[in-house]
Amino acid sequence: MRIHIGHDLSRLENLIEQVKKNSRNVGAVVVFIGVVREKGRNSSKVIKLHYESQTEIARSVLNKLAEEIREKYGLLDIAIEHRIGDVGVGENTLYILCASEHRREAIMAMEETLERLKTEVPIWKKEITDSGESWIREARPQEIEVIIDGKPIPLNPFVRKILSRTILAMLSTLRGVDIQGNERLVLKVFRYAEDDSGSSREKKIWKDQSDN
Amino acid sequence: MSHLVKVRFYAWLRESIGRRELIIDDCPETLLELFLMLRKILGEKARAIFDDDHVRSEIMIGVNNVLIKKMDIGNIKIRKEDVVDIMPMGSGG
Repeated sequence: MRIHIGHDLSRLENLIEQVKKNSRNVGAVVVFIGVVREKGRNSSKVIKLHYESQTEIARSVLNKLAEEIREKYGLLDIAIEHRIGDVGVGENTLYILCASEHRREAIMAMEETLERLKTEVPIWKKEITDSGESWIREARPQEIEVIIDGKPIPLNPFVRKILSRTILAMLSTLRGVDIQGNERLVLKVFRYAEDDSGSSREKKIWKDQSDN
Repeated sequence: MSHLVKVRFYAWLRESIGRRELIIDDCPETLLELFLMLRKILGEKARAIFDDDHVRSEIMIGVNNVLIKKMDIGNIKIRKEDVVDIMPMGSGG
């Protein structure tokens, strides 16, 4: 496991080799690269991002997060590197690498790591644009997020509450599931391609799950 | 017993409050009491930290480089030369 917060990032190739080296059973490495984009909030043009951190706390929170994620998804290794200071447009700000036997757990682990890193770790970014500068203030994540065909669906607070409570209540009846009431749900709906027949769909899913 | 304690502010919170740090030379014994004191010292600017009587949900607190749970602030003792960090929710990535 590698956690790093600093003014520079390691070479990505080296990090990939490092997480692969940890076990001969690595079958998938999912890599996330955060990049500074030029398009800012309110249609301004970004010149650079400035990252500030409380580095000691950020490092210990990232360590704890990485340990939790590694255990939860059974990862073989995980590496997280985050830049601080000024980062220009097109430059990399963040690397997250999740290595596992199969791709599914690495993808899920990546998503949770990224989501939690954005709010739980004391690292903050300021956007410096051609029309001024402002701190980015993330909204606290909602209790449920619904995404259909990749598109986030807006939910009013009442619907959000009903949906999340109903789903959590159903899940709490499953054997071995311990629902505490503070869980966050992400409901993603994918559609099959139109020309897939039911039976081939099933075969495809089972094949996908057994590969990697 | 009183203590000398340093309180540090970060990112947009530092700009809302208008100062990087605050030295409190007559600090009470618990973190909760320190927060009540801060609310008085900062006046209107304390609204960046407090929502009515509570510390805002998007505020994180550290004591001597250790992140603490807000529910514990009544139990955490403050000692001489402690450093308390008051931080907004992260926005990294």
